[in-house]
Order: sequence, then structure tokens, then C-alpha cells
Amino acid sequence: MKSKKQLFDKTIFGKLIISLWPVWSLASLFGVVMTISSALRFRSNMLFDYTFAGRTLMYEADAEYFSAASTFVIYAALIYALVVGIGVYSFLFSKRSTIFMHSLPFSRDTVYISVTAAGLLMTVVPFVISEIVYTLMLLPLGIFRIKAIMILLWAIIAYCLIFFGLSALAAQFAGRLISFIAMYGILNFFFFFAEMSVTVFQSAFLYGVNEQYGNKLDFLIPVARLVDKVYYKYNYVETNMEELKDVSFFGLGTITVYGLVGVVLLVFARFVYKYRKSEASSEMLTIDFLKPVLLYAFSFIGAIAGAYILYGMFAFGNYQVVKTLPMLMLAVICGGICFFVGSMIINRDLRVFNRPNLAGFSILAAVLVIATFVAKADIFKQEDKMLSASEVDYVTVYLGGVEYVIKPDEPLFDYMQDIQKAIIEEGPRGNVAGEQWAISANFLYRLQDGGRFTRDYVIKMSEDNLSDPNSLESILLDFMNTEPVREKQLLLTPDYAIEYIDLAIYREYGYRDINIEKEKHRGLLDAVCQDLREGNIPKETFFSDYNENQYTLQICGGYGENVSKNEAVYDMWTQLVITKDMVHTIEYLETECGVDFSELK
Amino acid sequence: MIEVNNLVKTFDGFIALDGTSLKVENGSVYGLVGPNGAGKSTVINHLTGVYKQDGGTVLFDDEPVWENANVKRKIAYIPDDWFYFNGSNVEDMMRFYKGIYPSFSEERFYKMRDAFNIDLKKGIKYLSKGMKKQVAFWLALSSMPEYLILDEPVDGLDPVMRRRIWSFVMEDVAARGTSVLVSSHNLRELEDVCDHVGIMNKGKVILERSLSELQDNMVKLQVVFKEGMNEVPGDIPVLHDSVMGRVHTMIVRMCPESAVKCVSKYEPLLVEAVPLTLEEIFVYELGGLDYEIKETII
Repeated sequence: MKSKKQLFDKTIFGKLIISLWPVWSLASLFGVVMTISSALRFRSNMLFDYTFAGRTLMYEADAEYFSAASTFVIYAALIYALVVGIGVYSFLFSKRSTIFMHSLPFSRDTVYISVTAAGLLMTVVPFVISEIVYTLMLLPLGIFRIKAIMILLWAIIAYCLIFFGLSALAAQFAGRLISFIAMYGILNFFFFFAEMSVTVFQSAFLYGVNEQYGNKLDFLIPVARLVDKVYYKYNYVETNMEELKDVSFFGLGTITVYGLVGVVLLVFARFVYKYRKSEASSEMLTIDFLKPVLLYAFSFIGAIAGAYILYGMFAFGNYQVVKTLPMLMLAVICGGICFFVGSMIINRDLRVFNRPNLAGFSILAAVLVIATFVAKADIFKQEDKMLSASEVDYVTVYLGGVEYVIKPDEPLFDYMQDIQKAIIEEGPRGNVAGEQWAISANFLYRLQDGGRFTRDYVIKMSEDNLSDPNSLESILLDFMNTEPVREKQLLLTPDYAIEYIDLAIYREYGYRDINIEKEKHRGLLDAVCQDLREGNIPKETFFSDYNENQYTLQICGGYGENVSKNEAVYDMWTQLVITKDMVHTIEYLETECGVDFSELK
Repeated sequence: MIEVNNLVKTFDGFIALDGTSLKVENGSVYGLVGPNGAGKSTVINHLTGVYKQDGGTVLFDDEPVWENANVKRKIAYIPDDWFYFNGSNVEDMMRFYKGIYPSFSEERFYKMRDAFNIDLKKGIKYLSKGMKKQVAFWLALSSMPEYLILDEPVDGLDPVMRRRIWSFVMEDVAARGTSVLVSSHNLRELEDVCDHVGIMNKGKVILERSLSELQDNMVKLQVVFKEGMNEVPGDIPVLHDSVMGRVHTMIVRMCPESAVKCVSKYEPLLVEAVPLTLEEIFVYELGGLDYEIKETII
């Protein structure tokens, strides 16, 4: 006789492994093919590619393992856990199979543990086989990187735990295959859509506030957090940037945490499975209290996201701040559609216009009214919010068609904030029609804590106001024409790392580019700077159209981790039309770069 | 012994079982009958440990079946629509049952092979409905259960196979004392195999007796009264009366001897007691509960 407290049954386990062999064997085959291709490419690069010259091959192998752990495996595990979940938990999605499985002489615990163990094994196996194949293929080259192998293995197990854990939980909430897939999507991405919808809806009422997805709930979206936090980095010898010192892997802690969360989810799913009623199979949702929760959540998010999208369509996106009443009306309409359609789907009944649902819709409408006024009231004072210098790492400013960076220790920082305050004080000036003069002013603050804070304004300009020195037009133009700003506009600040400088020479039938050598960049920019200080560069040179016999400097550079604790490097690009007055620039280009300016002269 | 006491089950507020009680003695064949929606399948799903009751108890030899693997190992269940793993053949499913039921007899399985004559290697999904049912019986009987629970068991089987399967079942009942609970609408067939019957209606077992008791308690009388006596006297407990010419065919709730005696005092020209079939008992018992056959013109 079998033990009374049997928790695992090898017959169920084995039956699932055998009957689902096409799933895991095809996945393994796919993984092995990908792995072989990757290993062959690596071997080929090692043997023939010059990029490996001077680098340490072992570290390149580490990078290959880390690359798999930080990108491919995350997405693959996300999708594959769903496929395996469909296979092993399919018995929950039809009455016939549920009755069969639950009439077998096992407790629910035994069924769950046996089925889940089979699913987990099937999820892990293709990845592990692929890793083994990859490792074996590198062995003849004398490469065996145990640390990298273990990191990838741990990542594989953790990803399988978290995504299969979500799959197991989704299966317990769903009574049908389609609702299982939807529930898996909801568990993985609900908070992304929720946060984005709420922030976007709120920002629509506030001038300049243009929040998209704020990453605040990233930790509830495993795939997003893992992709963000798990990465690797080449470390080069300081004296020789071509020579690899080692390759660092980041995010092991994040991986471990999500692996443990996966275990918790599997345990939680077991409780839900015990609570779930057999008769709920073939229902859309098996747990009663989830029905109203999901219906209202879906309707609320659908209402605000739908209202935002429709408002943009009707207004052609041409608005600074939305009008309250039309936005609210659209939200109520979209919410109503989502509510009644959601009710149809959840209850599998087209007759939804009944008294309880109408009462439910009234509650939703009331919540939307409150949400609209809360968003408009700006209770968190987002519209007027100004950051102190101590909070800021640097600010990327886009004003008047060019982008540049201002750091908080520069005098320009306070000036820039005064400009921003003036814009806020003036408020939105209405929509900008086709040919009207307008300026975009965008301020992207990168914060000391790594966060972001953005404000985007479109300012309708009027030439009539230029005569008034206190008008916003005058204030903005004064700022843009100050020497430090113009230097930044031309990427002349030494902080910038110049990527390349081209001189484009336009002729009647086309143009040609002359690439300025790297060692001459600084000298050329100093010459441009001198012209700027001497007033030799007219304002309009920034915005000139291409003309015949025109000489244009195209400067591309960046501002990044060499001067900032943030990792991002911003590619910036500007162009400057060379005029006869720019004597220092012309002289430098003639003498140092051999450019012929006779036609310009 | 199977004992169901005051079983209550509701689905979204709908009361499917409203205090159902029944008792299946060891070694008996119990027929559970009732109109559509009476709750028979719901009772069976409780007996097999699939559903958890909202109230009441479901006991096998005084042990609850819910989450009790030891009890469930003694039960074999053949639902109306039997499940098999996708891509499995008979042999695969045999191996599965063998792994699941400790009492599974491979020897018996192969002995029964001649009776069923189904290719072991053939995928079950390619078998006809009747053949799938045969496989279900084959595996269930090979599991050597103490309790056999059958839901519309011979639906889809040809007459020869029906007889063969019933003979296997009855053999198990006689030789091993297997208790059988069978739910079916084929009352003619149940009459041949059941020794006890429970009639369900609206979530309750309204009548539970041995078949002989049931037949003793109700009788069909064919009576020709004397001329001038057109009405049935009021002291005869008639459930149903139909008249053709002067012949009254009455269903009377009395034992046959008493019924004949009761009618005889009116000196009829003819009185004859005919035993009722299970189907007639079913119809007339439920007739008193608003489930009578109604003549509806369409």
C-alpha cells in the first residue's frame, strides 16, 4: 500500500513528461540549434575575427554566457513557461479532464506537486541541455568557465521558477485555456499598463507634465525588472582600452530574489488550487472574488487609457492640457464599453444590461469622476514642481531645436530654472496651428538617485511680443542667445565627448562630406568658440536651410558616464553653417584640414 | 458501505443538492434514477471526491472520501464521457491505471482482452464512442475496485457488449462483493441489474427502496367494474387511472394482494394485478411531484 501522506506520484509525473514530449523536445531542439549556431559563430570569430586580437578569449566566453543570462533566457523563459503551463495544467480547463484527475486516488496536494514538478522540469530542461551543448562545444578550444556556467545555470533556474510560478498561479485562477493565457499576461504585465495609464491620464491635465511609464512598479513586472537589472559589462585595462581585464555580471541578487519569489508563487498557487472548486473548470475565472476585482480594474484602466487615446485622436494630439469635461465623458464612455464587454467575457453571457451591472457601471462612473478631479487638482503639486540642485545630476535641455546638457553646479542651471518657472507661470497658450511660430522646451532631469523627471512644453510664440522685454518670447530668446548656451548648442563645452565632425560642402548637384580627424576636433572647436565670442557667428546660422556653395559643420557628440554617475550616453547632433565672418574657423580648416574656401570667399 | 447524509451543494446560489441522503449496502447494485437536473451527476461527483460538499457527509465504510486517497483507491469511476490522455493508446492508459491503483491486476486485464477485442496499440482517440466506453470498463474492472461508480455506463454500447459488460460487473458483485452505484436513464436495463433503487428529484432522494419492495408497494390493476359503476371508488388510493371502454387501468399505491382485495369488494367483472416496471414506478412516483407526463399539443 502506498503511504498515507504521499505528496508526489511518479505515475502522474511520468505520464505528463511522456505525453508532452513534443513540447520539451522541440524546445530543446530549438535551444540546441540556437546554441550550436552561437557556439560556431563564437569559434569562427575567435579564429578569424580581428576584434579578438589583444582580448582575452576566456572573458569573451564569459560574455557569451552572461549575454544569454541577461537577455535571451529571460524572454524565452517568459514565453516557454506559458507553453508548458498550457500543457501541464490543461486538465484544469475542461470539466471532463478535471473530473478525471480529481477522481484519481490522490489528494489535491499530490496532484499539484506531481503536475508542477513535471512542468518545472520540462521548463528547465531545454535551457540546461542548451547550456551543456554550448559548454561541450567550447571544451575542444580549452574553454571551461565554471563561474559563468554556474551563473547562467542559476539564472535559468531562477527565471524558470518565477515565470513557471506565474504560470502555475494563472492556471489556478483560470477555468479556460483562453483565460489562462490572458491571466498569465495580466500577472506579468498588469502593473505596467496600470501605472502607465494612470500617469498618462494624470499628466494630461497638467501643463508640461508628460509622464509615460515611470518604472515605479517595475518590481511587480519581473520581465521588465530582470531586463533592466541583469546585464554584463566589459572591463578594459586602463592603459589599453582594447585589452579586456574581465567581464562583470550584474543582477545576481535580482535573479535570486525573483527565483525565491517564484518558489513563493508556486506555494501560493498550491493553496489557490486547494481552494479552487472542481466545478469551476470551464468558467472564465475560478475564484469568485477575482471577478469583480478584475472587471473593475480592467474597466478603470480601459476608461482612462481609452479616453487619453481617443482625446488625442479627436484633438489630433494638438493640445497642451486636456479639457476636463470632454476627457471625463470619453473616460465614462470607454469605461462603460470595457465594463459591459468585460462582464460579457467573464460571465460568458451577452445579457449584461441588467440591474446589478448598471449599478456597477454607476459606481465605475463615480470613481472616474473622482479620479478626473483628483488628477486635475494636482494634489501632488506636479505642475509647479521645481527640483533643487542637490537632487539633480544633470539636465538635458531641448530648446529652440537643439539639445544640450546643463549641470547643477553651472550658473546656467538657475537661469534655466527661471526660464522653466516663467513658462509655467505663463501657462498653456493654446493649440498651435500649422504655420504658427512655436518653440518646444523640454527639460529632462537626471536625478542623483538615478531617477528621471521630465517636463515638456510647446510654447506658442508671437512676434508682436518681441518688443516687450518682459514677454516670454523675449525671455526665451535672451536665454538662447547667451554665450554659454550657444557654446552648449554647438557642443563646444569640453565636457562633451565628440564622436565625429564632418564638413558638408554643398554644390549645385549635391554635396560631399569631409571627415575631420579626431586629433583636430578640439582645435577646430576652439576656433569656432573664438568666433562665437567675437560675435562672428550670426544667430540664424543654427537654423539655416541648405544652399548651394554652403559649408556646414556637422558635429555629433555625447555627454555621459565620463562626467555623470548615470550610465546613459546621449547622442547629440548639431550643425553650423560657416559664414565669411567666421574667420578663425575658416582659417583653422584651411591650414589644418586643407579645405578650400575660395568659393565661399 | 456507501453512506451519504444530508448532502448539500450549491452552485452560484442554485441549490443542486438539498439534503440528499442515500445508502448503498456492500455487495449491492444501486440504481440512481431521476429526471434531468435532479442532481444525480452532482451526487456522483461527490462520491468520487471531485466535488467538496457544502454540507453533509459522504462516507465509504465510515471514512470521508474528500481528499482521502485511501478511500479513493477502492473506487473505480466510469463517467459518461471518459477522459484519456491525448495521444495515448490502450496500453499507455493501462500502464497509467496500473501505476495509480495498487490493486490493478495486469493478469485480469490481459484475460479480458478477448472479450473486448481492441488493439492495445491503437490510439484511443481513433476508437468509436462505444469502444472508448469498453476501454473504460476494461481498465476499471482490471483495477479490482471495491466500489464501482457508473454514470450512464452502457450508453453507446451495442446490445451484445452491454450484456457482456453487465455480466462482468455482476460477476464482480457476486465473487468479490463489489458495490455498484449506477446512474442511468435506461430504466429497463437497471431493472435487470439493480437490487436497490433511489429516485432523485430536485436535489433530494425522494424514494429509496429495494426493487422488490418498490414493486410490492405499487401495482397496476386492470379492472372491469359492474355495469353502471363508471367511477373508481374513493377508498382505492389511485395514482393514475385511464379508461378504455369499460377497462380501467389503475396505478394503485398498495401491495398487489391488498389492492386486489380492496377492489374485489366492489365485485368487479374482472380484476387483474400486473407488476409495474421500474420505468412505470419512476413515472408515477414523480407524477405526484409535478413531473407527470403532460399531453401537450404542439
